[in-house]
Amino acid sequence: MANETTSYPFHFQDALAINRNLGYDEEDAKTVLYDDCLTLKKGDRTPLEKYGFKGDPKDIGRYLYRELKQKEAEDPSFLPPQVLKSASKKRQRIVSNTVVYFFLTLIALVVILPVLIVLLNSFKNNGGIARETFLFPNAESFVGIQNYVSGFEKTQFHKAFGISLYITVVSTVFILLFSSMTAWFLTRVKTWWTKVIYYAILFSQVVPFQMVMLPMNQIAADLGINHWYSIPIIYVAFGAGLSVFMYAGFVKSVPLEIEEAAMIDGCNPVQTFFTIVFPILKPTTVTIAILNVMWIWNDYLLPYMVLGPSIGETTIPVAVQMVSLGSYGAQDMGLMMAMIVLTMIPIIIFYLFGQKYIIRGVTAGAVKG
Amino acid sequence: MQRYYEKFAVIFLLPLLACFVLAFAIPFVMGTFLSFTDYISMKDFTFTGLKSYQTAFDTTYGTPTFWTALGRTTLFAAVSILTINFNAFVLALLLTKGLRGSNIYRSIFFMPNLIGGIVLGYIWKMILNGILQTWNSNLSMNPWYGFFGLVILMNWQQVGYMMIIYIAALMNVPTDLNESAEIDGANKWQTTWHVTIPMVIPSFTICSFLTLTNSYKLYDQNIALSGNSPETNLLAADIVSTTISHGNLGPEQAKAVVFFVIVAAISGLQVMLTRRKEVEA
Repeated sequence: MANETTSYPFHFQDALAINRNLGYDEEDAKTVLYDDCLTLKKGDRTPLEKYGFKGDPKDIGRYLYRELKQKEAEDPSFLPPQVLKSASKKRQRIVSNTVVYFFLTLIALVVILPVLIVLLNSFKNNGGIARETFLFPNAESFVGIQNYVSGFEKTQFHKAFGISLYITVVSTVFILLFSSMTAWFLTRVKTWWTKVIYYAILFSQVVPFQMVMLPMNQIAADLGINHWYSIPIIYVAFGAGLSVFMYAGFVKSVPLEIEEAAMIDGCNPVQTFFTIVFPILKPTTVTIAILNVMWIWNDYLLPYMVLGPSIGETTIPVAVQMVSLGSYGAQDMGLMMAMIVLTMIPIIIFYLFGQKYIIRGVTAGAVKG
Repeated sequence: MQRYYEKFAVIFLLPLLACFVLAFAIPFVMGTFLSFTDYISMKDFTFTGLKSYQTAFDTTYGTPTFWTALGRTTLFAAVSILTINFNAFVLALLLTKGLRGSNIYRSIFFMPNLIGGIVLGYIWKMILNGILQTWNSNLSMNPWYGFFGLVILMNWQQVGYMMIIYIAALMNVPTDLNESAEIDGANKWQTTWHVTIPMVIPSFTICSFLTLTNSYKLYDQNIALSGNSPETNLLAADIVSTTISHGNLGPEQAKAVVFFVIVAAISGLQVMLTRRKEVEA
């Protein structure tokens, strides 16, 4: 791409002098020249006549532009500030920005509309949803909050919500606590067996759930931990892979000196970990908490296998799916839409408040995992 | 100091390891073993060697659902990788131009990621059926509707996520590289194609593999959108559906083992590729 070969018997100083002779002051002469470079680079040869230069306009434009930039590199104050916002460039930009904004807004609508349509349809009966999916409810299809009332009853939504909330919070707390302890220990104690444990935990990340689901379910039943209040034990196992990996990556950057100082002050490893190390890990803890909350809250197959499909003893996703299967095979879409609205409210609140951390956490998780 | 630390191993490791061994390690070993048996339950099985694998992939009665599901999943993964990455990268380019309000758009585009798979499936089932009924059709009329419906659904959900990764990568491209390309006479397209894209290749690798593993493991969205049907089931759904309906679980466990090998191989390839990139960098 470098195009150093062409040079011309004139320099940008000559062009500047011509501009000055035309009556521009020092700053304007530079601005005009800069604009002319851009015009030339586009292949427009009009400015050449003014300067009396001969040659390929694009090439001359590039040549003069490079000289200007070189000069600017030697003397940063050489180009007046308004050069960077020169008029022609601005005009171009406004046009292209409008196009970009239009496009982005269109996509934003594509993202938001489905959610609004769900809200709309949650107030319609099934016929209305099927026939006029994208219209506002009318006298015939409007059913008020009936879908919400019957859906709440059929899914026992308050129970499903409580169970989902309990499972998500308790599992995440235990995952954070146990994973950070394990990751710290495995990073600080380097022996063959800590390596084996570390890689075994990492390995679990590449094993699909279907591989272990049947035996795991059987063990859970035999040990009597297949209840909503004890299922966090199982979530700890499936959340460990990513969490230990991410904590271990962060622990490596914690300076050993701090821990050694604590030891000298008489702390045992347990005290050192909880008073010194765990607080330092806080940014990672926030990230890992978010990643775990997101998958556990939405998880379907694990609670379906372990807790079974009985309404009132299971999580929101399972309850929603079970209600959808209906009694006669026909799905009650109105009821579904109402339940989906109820399911999405806590998610949207969570997102509105923790947005910054969620996006940051997801980025960190994706790049490391 | 290590020696002293080691005395506390039980306190630090036991809580996690107890859960891990019970709910993952033992089931993993048993799962592998049970794939070589005929089993009704874990207490009722007979060792049969490779018979389960033969049954699972038996072609006497036409192509077994596993192979068709595998083919469908692979096609789905390919289409998803192309569409999701393209859309995500275009959005990331537009949102890193320094436009005012970029952050608001970014937040909106990311939002669908927080919605769970089952819920997503029903949202799109309603919408796609609403569109298809214009032609007196619906999702269950043609398996390809389910397939492309799932592609649309996954784009809707995942583009925002991949976009975030691309934005992070694009922010790391030093601006003087683009500027010097411009001085050398490159136009916007040339700068994007020859300077920006080569600089963010590592994130293309990350996103492609994320989409790939997501596609292979996809389950919730699949069953919610198009029901549990052999016509539209992807690999994960194929295994789960036959698991639930069959008495002898050996062949299903055998399928799960093959499924695991495929997913593990993809992940292994990813680690290999990203490691090599790191060395080069």
